[in-house]
Amino acid sequence: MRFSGLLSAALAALLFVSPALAETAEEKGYRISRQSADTETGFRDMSVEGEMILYSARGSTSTRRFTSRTVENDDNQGSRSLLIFDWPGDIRNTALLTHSFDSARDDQWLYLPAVRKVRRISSSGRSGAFVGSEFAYEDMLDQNVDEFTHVWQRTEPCPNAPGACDVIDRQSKNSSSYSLQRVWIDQTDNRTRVIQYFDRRGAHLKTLTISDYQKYNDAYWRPALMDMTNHLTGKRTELKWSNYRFDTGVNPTEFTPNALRNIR
Amino acid sequence: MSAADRITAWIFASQKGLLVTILLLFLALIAGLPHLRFGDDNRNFLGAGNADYLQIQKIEDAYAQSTTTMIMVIPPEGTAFEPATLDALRRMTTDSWQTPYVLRVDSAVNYSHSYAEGEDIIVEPLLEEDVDVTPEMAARFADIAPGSDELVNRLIAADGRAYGISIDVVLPDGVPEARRDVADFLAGQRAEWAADYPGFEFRSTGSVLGGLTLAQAARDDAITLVPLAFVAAIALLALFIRSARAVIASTLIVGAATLATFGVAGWLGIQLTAGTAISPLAVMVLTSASCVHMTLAWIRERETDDPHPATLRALSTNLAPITVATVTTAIGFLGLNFADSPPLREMGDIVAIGLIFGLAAVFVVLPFTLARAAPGSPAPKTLLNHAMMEGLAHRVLATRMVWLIVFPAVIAVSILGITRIGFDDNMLRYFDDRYEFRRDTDAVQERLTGLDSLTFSFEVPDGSVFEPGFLRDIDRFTLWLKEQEHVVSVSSITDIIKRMNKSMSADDPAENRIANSREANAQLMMFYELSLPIGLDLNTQIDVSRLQTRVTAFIRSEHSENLRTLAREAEVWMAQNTPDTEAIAGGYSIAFARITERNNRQMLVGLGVVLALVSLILMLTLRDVKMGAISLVPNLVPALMAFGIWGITFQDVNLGSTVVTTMTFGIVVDDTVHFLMHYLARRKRGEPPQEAMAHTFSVVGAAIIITSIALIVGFAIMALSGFAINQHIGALTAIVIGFALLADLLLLPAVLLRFERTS
Repeated sequence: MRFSGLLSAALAALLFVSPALAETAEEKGYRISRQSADTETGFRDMSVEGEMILYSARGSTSTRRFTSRTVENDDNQGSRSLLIFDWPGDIRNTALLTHSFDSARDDQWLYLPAVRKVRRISSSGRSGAFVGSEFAYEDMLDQNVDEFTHVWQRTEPCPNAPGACDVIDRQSKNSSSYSLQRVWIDQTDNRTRVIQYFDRRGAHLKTLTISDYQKYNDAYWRPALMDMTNHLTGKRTELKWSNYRFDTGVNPTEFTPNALRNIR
Repeated sequence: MSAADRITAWIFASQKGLLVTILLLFLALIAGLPHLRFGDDNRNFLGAGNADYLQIQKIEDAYAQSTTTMIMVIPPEGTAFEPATLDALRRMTTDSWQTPYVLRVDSAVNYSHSYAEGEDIIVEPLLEEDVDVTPEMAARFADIAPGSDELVNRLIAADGRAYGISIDVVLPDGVPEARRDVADFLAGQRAEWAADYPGFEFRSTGSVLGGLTLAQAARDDAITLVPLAFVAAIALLALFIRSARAVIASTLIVGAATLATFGVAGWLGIQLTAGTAISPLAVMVLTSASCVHMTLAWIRERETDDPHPATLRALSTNLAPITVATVTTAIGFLGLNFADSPPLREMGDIVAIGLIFGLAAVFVVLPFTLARAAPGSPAPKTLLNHAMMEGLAHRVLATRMVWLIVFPAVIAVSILGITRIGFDDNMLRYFDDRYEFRRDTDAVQERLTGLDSLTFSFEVPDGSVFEPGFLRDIDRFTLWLKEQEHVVSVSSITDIIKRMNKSMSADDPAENRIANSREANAQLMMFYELSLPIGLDLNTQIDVSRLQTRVTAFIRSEHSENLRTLAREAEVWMAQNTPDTEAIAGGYSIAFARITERNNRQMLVGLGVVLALVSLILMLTLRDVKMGAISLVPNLVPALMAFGIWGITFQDVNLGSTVVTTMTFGIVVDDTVHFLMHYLARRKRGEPPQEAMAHTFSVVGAAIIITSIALIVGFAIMALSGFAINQHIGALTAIVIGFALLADLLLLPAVLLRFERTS
């Protein structure tokens, strides 16, 4: 009686915790990252306005403004996005087109309205400071989950939000300018809260804090503020997102290099 | 009973208490020793209000606050463009990205090369990553790199035989070991590369290594030269004064004063640099001079009396002269506070405090020891006796007209010599060949690039840096700069914009120009920027608000006059040719090139103040305005002659020289004080001038000669430093003191007697 009681309790416990026991840290990391990514995709198309405020180490500021439009491909493999600059005035209407693929390197083109030319951007670079900010282009985007290995580290209180966060280390499977990204994802709604970027030599180079999340169309969580601090230089960039709109009926075929010239 | 007698009596009455007090004071001061730090930052030499330094800070704020380390890689002869060599260079570039606090790494292999290919513009590293270097890749590299304006004389030598890897790091605040971390890492890499690539030669330079060498030089001086000077000072004392008792007491006093001075530096939180670490040496030799005066007076009294009364009289007669001499010396050193360069100010402060401690120790410890010599023992001997001194006095007086001609003649020649003096200051050349840093620096400068630079930060009046007119002005200036003597390479965004404009038109050479609209230039630059990999962005050349951009000229100079001339000519050229687009020359090279001139200007005020104060003290002490005025002659002439000789022989002076006149004025005045006080005392007793002169020689002549020799030897040892600032301070001071000795013994008597006759 006593024995069987113990056994059944043990069995119950085993059954209860077994998914956790069976799951490795890699699997758990992948599962959480996948869940988080899934809350953000499936919107078909989206447009949003971005404003960057660049702070120097001693606090002087400078502003960049742009509109971003993204459309998911019909086959749901990757997306196409268009960034059209509005400020500073001398790059107004300059448009950056990106075709991202789940399984290949992105293609990028820039339309230069002043000379009315479209030029492809060679793929070797692109990881540098985006328009002089602390963001690299890739830092502003949701990352393709399958391009990384994910290792769950621990659960702890979110550094910049109430509730608990899972801490996951992700490493690019391809060559990357970062050796490691450490991501905090909240357990309440699977939103990315903080990302720490480690440079080639493994030093903590930058921290991105993401905040002011809001839910759109009852489905997609989107932040209003992303704040990137560079710990080496002491510089910082605030990226404010506003005017999110979803599912406005954009056709992905409009997002081509040839169509760039006609975009206003 | 005179005031001096009363003070002497009090010192003797409270001797035990005073001894304990001095001991406690000594212990309190040396408790500061553990706080001593060696500074490894070149910027320490630039004062907070220094206009050139403020300009540097403005530039660093607008772009990036980073410092560059340059590693020169020399592959085995004839293999510079072989695939294996390029493979090695690529690996070294990759390895360098692992440097602590690294911001960016530039070399010929990761240089962002751009060209048109059909409708595409390719911007990519000159040498592709992640693949083995093929002969074709090597051939392409050999074709492009030696022809690139942005690489040649910077990252690849003009003769193609040496490469450069430029590593920019951002040193964090509050991490004192940051430089050491960077240097250790790079030294480790160098060792690894040397093992993996036999036949390759490596040399490194830059301000991180220079800063560490600065601390190293400070440590070397403190550990070798200060003890050497100590041994020399004691040896001289023992040579001139045959009293073991006096020599041992002096050794203790001088040693304690030197240690206390280091302790003071610790308490004041001063970071010892190569400019200050050696300054306790000054306290050492000056305190030993006070010991000599006191001991010689005692020996003189001992000839007629027992130790105790002899000590009382020696102390009583020397109280005023030694105090006045030490105070004037301290004032001279405090006068260094007028200098702009913090290490010079700090040197003045710690030496002044050390001297005052030394003075107290001399008055308390020396009499205590001397008075306890066995009564009735024979008087100790000195190397220079009265007879010799009186003989010298007669010879000097007999030839005094000669000196009244010789000295003015030498002064006239000196003034000519002074006009030849040039200012040469360079943080890299401050170190001599004994330091690997200097040898490496010279090699890098000879084989690869120019290590001095001038930075011109242009601010657009309105709009953005992409205004065509603004960029065309900068382009013209850049082209002008490239033509100038000593300039080996110029970095400017105009070259990038022109190149991108050309690539936008299928590499049509006619399009190698600034585009006609602000928008086009901005967009070309944006295209380029989007193509860059992490770390190699444009933030080091354009500020984030797009209102400022900088042009940097790399210069191979042998003398800082080259830099000053170029800076001046550049500013004149802009005023005449691009009056709407002007910038001033900035950066560490020009800040140091101007540092002597700047400090000289300020030290001139300091000299005036010290001159006035010291003369006032002399007049009060001598109670004679005319004598005070006369005393200026033998005290100003030596510096004049020393700089004159220097101008004729060595010609160039550096920052160290700026403080010599003020500092030595306080020192050389001592001998005059001793001389005049004795002379006037004799005259007051009614002795005729010639007789008073002979007596003065016999009483203080030996002390003046011995102390001067001790000071000359001490400062000459300072000149053995491997750091040019100390070399100049030490050598010039030794020469000034040598001339001061001659002036006191030869010129002063002649002038005094001439003055006596006319009055």
